Amino acid sequence: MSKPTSASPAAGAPAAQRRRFLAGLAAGVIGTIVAVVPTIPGIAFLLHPLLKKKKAGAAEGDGYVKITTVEAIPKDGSPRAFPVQMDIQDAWNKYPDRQVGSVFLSRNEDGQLKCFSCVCPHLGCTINYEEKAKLYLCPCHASSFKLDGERENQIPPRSMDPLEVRVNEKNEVEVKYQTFRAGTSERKVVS
Amino acid sequence: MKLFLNWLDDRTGYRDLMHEALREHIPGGARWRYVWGSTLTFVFMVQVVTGFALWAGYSPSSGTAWESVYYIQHEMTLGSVLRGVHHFAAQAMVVLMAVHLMQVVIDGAYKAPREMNFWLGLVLMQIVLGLGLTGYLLPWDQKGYYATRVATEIMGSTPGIGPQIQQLAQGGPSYGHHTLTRFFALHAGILPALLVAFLALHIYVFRRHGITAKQPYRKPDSEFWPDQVLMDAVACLAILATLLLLAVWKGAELSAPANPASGFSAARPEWYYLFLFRFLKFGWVSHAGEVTGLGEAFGAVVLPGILMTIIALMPFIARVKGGHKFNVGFLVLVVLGSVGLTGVALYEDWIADTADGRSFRAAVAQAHKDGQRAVALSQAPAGIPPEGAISLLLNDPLTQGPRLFQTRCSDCHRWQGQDGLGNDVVQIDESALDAPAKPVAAKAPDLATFGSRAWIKGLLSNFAEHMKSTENATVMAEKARELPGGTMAEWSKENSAALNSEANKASFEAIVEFLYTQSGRSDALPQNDPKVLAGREIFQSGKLADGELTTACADCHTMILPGETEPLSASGEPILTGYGGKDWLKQMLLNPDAHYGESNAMPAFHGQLSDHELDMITRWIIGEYYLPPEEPTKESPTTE
Ligand code: FES
Repeated sequence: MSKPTSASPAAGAPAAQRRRFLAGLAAGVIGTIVAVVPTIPGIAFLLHPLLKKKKAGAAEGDGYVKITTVEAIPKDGSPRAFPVQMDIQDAWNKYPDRQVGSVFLSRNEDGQLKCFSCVCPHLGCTINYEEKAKLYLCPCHASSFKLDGERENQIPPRSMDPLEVRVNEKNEVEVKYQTFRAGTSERKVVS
Repeated sequence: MKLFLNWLDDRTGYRDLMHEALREHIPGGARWRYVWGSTLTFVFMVQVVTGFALWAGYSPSSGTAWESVYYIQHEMTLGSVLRGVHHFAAQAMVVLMAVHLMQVVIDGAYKAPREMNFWLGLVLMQIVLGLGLTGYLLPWDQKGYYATRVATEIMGSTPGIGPQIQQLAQGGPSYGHHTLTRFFALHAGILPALLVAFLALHIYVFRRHGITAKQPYRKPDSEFWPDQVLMDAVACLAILATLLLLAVWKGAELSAPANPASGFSAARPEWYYLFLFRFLKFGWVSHAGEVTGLGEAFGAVVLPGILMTIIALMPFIARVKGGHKFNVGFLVLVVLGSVGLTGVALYEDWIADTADGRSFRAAVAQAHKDGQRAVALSQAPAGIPPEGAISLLLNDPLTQGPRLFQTRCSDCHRWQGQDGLGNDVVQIDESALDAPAKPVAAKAPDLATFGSRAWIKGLLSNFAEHMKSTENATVMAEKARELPGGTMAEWSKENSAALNSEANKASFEAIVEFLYTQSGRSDALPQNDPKVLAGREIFQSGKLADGELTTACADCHTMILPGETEPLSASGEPILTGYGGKDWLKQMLLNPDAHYGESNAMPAFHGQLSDHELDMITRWIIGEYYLPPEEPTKESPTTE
């Protein structure tokens, strides 16, 4: 290849130079357009989860899910874990009545119900209940909580997440199942 | 800025690289005819970008491929545009490749010392065609499934190692999960990697020898930058605009989910393989295949292989005197031949009024309908069940009912004058298959309105006309021909005037309503509605607002109302208990004598329909299936 000099044959003339500049400008602009435009739908597509909020995945109606009957919950105030089943929409599939998580339910002598999410507010592991210690313990990083959900050490950023609970006319326990953002001291619902 | 660029250049030497790239010498100045290589590279880049994005939404298994593509197409942000661009860009690559090849051969750019590059180009061509073939299967819809199956069957028919190759491609003896995972690995991994490697070589060797300038030179020599770059950019822009336009306007079709159980008479490869498809249909090609023992592979592999070999040998042929002219002539012939065959194939499918053409078009229309229905059901509140979208169609009365009607009922009955699937029922003359088809008269009533209020009205006030088609009956013909002149016909004649009189309008409506209520259809009134009760009164007593029926219905027909212990009337046929409802209809199909006794003229289907089939067809007839909410753009019903 010949050593490039700044002189292409007619480069000397100002008119030719202007023409060359304009051609270069147009080539740059159009080149940028054809490079950028095809990536736009691609990027928008990948950003879909942020652009369109999930339609389903939450229970229908007011958000309460039937969990169990009142009788199934121990009367002495010790908690028991129950699975949460509901219809879920996973992208294109609809799964009827799938297990999506679990909750702790407890009942004291006055019959008052208490419900906590089994999801650890630290980083999302599943919390166990230790019968002997009468403590909730998370196996992942040793977060522990008292029976009332209060955190017992400084590992979790907040206390256990309480869930709203009610008893319907058939004496069934319903819980408003929600998930919360892990790792923050503030309790924020993940939607 | 300048400082930074200097720093960067020091470390990377990018300026030399840019120089090298942009200062390429172009003898005779920039020209439009040199843009093809660049446009191909550009379209490939578009495929990479759109392909990566689609990859992030695609799930290769036979239970999720169609579903994920449906989701990309109909639910995800700009998914339809993305898929459309990818779809049309694939086709654009094939077209551009053909143009590029022609330009190279005509300009003599394949001659020494550029043989190597010419061959690299031919390899790239095979890779691109392979990408097209593998990509066509990935949506796992009827169209792609059956088109690709033909291709793999051809592989399998190759003597010797054919069956092994087919099994390797399919990932087993038949199509399934592993066919998709393998095709996907080829389509998104192996083939693109090969393409990148060969493209790099192709461009490297091209740069080594420089452009083959077209004589005579029109302008003084110049460099790649800026004039040729501008032309390339403009060409790319034009292509991009075309792709976007096609993607938005036409879009990539998604037909119904692949169903190995139901044949697909519209199976065709992508249009750029049509010439080969048509070629294989020639009698002499199959004959030669049989004689040589090569089977389908003769036409699909050996002959194209010979053509490709001749093209690959072009650089050598060109050394002989007149060789270049031969090469150009040969290529033009191949191109014209392909275009011609493609034209013939398209004509035969889409225009020719032959039996084959008609059935092809009907199958395409049906596939289109099924595709839309599959999408509508996927978008329904019930959603796509875990076992996949194919079950939506298999359990959909609106999809299965018409098919059953067509095979089981349309010999005698009609549905809106047709066979249920939207085709006229015609006589097939074996000796002249392609002659205009002759319509066949119905031998039994049109069932499109079966059990509706209008149907009941017709039966009561104009029975003979309503049952007229039974005069043509050939099955149980004697019984059938009696119907238009039987006792019910007589009753109808005697009472028609009274029923249709202005004074009895309400009475007539009431009796129709009473009978309609028995079907229990979703729009039927409850048994205790005043109008229904009025009808019930007339059914029993025969007393109209003005005058009286010659005989009350209850005098001849059995009728037991749901939830009542006393039958309204307990003897006589036809039995009207639950008339027009699902159970009544099932009984009518299984054992019509049970309803109509002596006067029944319909053959029993007991033992011929499975429970599922029975369920599908009865639910279709009474309209018990999901319908998407009316869209305002659709034509709104004008009647009713
Ligand atoms: S996730 Fe429970 S302690 Fe870390």
